[in-house]
Amino acid sequence: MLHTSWINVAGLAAGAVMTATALAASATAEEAEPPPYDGHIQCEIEGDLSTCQIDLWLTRGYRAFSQCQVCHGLTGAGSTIGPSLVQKLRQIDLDRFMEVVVNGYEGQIGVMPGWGTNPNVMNYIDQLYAYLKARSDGVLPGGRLNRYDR
Amino acid sequence: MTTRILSLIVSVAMGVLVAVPVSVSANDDVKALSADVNNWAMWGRTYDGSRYSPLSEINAGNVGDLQVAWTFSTGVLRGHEGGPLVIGGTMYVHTPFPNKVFSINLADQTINWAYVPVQDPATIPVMCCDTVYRGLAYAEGKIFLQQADTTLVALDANTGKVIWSVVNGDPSAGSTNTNAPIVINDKVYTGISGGEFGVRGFLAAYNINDGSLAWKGYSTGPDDEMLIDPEMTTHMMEPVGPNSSLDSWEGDQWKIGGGTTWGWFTYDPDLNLVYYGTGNPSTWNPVVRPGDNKWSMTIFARDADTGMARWVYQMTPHDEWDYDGVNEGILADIEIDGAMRKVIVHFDRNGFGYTLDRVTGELLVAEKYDPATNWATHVDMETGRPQVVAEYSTDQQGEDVNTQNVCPAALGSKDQQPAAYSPRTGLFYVPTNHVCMDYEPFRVEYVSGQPYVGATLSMFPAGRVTGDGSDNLGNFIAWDAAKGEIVWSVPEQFSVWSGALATAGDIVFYGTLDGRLKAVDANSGEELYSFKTPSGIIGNVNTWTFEGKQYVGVLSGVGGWAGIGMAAGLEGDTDGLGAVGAYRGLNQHTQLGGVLTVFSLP
Repeated sequence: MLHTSWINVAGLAAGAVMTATALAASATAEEAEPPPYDGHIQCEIEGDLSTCQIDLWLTRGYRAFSQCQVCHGLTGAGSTIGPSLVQKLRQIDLDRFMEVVVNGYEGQIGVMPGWGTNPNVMNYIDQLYAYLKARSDGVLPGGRLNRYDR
Repeated sequence: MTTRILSLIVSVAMGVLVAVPVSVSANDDVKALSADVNNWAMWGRTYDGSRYSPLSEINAGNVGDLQVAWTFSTGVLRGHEGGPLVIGGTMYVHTPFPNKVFSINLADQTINWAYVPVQDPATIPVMCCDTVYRGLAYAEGKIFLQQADTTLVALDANTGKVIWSVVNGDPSAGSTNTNAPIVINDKVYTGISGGEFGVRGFLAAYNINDGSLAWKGYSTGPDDEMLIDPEMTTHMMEPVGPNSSLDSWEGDQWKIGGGTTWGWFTYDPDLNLVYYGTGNPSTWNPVVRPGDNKWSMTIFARDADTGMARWVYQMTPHDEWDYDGVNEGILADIEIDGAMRKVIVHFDRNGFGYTLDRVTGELLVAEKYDPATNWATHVDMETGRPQVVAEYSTDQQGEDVNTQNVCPAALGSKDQQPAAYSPRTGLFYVPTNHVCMDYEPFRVEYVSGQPYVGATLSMFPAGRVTGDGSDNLGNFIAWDAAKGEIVWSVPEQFSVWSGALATAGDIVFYGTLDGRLKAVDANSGEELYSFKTPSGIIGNVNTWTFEGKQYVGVLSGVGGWAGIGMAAGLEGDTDGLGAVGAYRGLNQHTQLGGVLTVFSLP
């Protein structure tokens, strides 16, 4: 299938980030940093997430996320066991994300394992963070995505 | 000994009156207790796993008047599977992790004793799909508790004191337990969980007096470790031959091959055979494990004394969809083609309902009990093999390819939730899922004690594949196991993840994920009663009497794999999974929390 009107998601993401930070009433240096998924998402129609595709790099993040699905839900939106990662990634920064994924976390009702020794997660930790950040920023829909670089 | 056991009433320090059985052999003890219709002494009420009660005080004519008699909070938030045991005037209630046990005096619903094991919280993360636990076993004054951390404990039923405990597996290598043990003769039987961690499954028998291991039969590997006799153990009525498992794996893959044993166990006292199923072969990526991967996905019939396998039947050779074969095998004597047959009936995750001769393992019937099932056209009755459809074969489609619209989903057309059988109607009552999936296998590395999944998946209502416009995620069906036909089917908004109960009152009970206990007419499926319990129901409905009055009880407390699948899309995505309204609904109906609700007539 030919896609003649791909929109690189960087512009879209900037919009999303602006909205979020405007709500928080604090324009920070984060805006200067491109989001970690920058350059890995292409959407045919701006604003229609169902037309978005990702590259192999970000696909590896989605695959690493398959380890998370059993507790955080098939879309990362949470389940009866684990909280919504879509919301969590709005609350924690990269350092905290790394700390929890590597070492695990004991919550009020659930316990998250540490993944520091699991190559299926740690080899793709940057991609996993980028994928979840994209979900959290509302620039990717839940579920599987097609690749545009296949 | 066929009469009810003699009891000696003693007063313990707590001032509670409890019954202590006088010494009899465990087999007679359990047989007598389960033969007494006033009890619910094991998970399926009787060894056949029928979940049928001859009680009829509550019946089709009056079940509409049912009321809540009393309730009990377990204080645990996780998914509550299984159901309570009732023996005489005492109820034993179990919970998910941390696997509390409560002994409750039915006279005033006070707690005789509570046992809360100390377990390493590090056990929780190695449990794949919530920290569920499916229940206790009882024999000779002992309660058998199978803890999540694999410790099997015998408690004094009168005091809750530990008599012995034994470690059944290694959680640091991914082994955990969720199954209910069962007691046969002088042994207690248990399995192992951890198929997503490369754990090698087995059935183990421990002596009830001291917890010493009597035998252990693995699901995979060398014949002697599987307790398989190449000449005597049969598959499809033929000897399996030497190295039947080793030859079906590449290299040493059988060592991390799964075939875990986390389902229900049934037993035929006349044949002295114990029946159970084995789970998925490890890694969900089928491409990297060529072969039939025996004996994962298999019904085993083992001699209860020696563990030797009499026969095996593999439902899903070379699994490509996570269709664990652990679901219960219900034992019944039914007429097929004019002859009475001793059969085992098994509703597999793979969507087929199997009827086999439980003496010989002969395959008699294999038909789809969810018409949406599409991964195989049919089961070849000569070879016993499912005829796989290439379009839905995640192996043939290959790694890194999204195989779409496979029915059923990995949840199966039915998961652990046990069915019931009524000898009065001759029908099996089956709680089912009506869910399909996309499945994309990819390569993963095995690390001991770490999940070993290797596939991404999406799930959605089967109606999206069948195109019939439906969006229900479950059905509650009545099944004719002689013909392999659905007799009636009641659609449910969500997967039916609760164990069914059939009674001589010609009614069938089940619970729903949105938290309703329902009673339906056993002949028609017509709904006769519905009550909203505090949380979603994934427990089993049990019944008993106390002081001559019939009660029905069920644990509510949503969770389990149902809670994972069903909570997807809570944020209301308009894409992917969230597109389907049915998924969004569950959190509008229910929240976490374990409560036992007990019902009776006014």
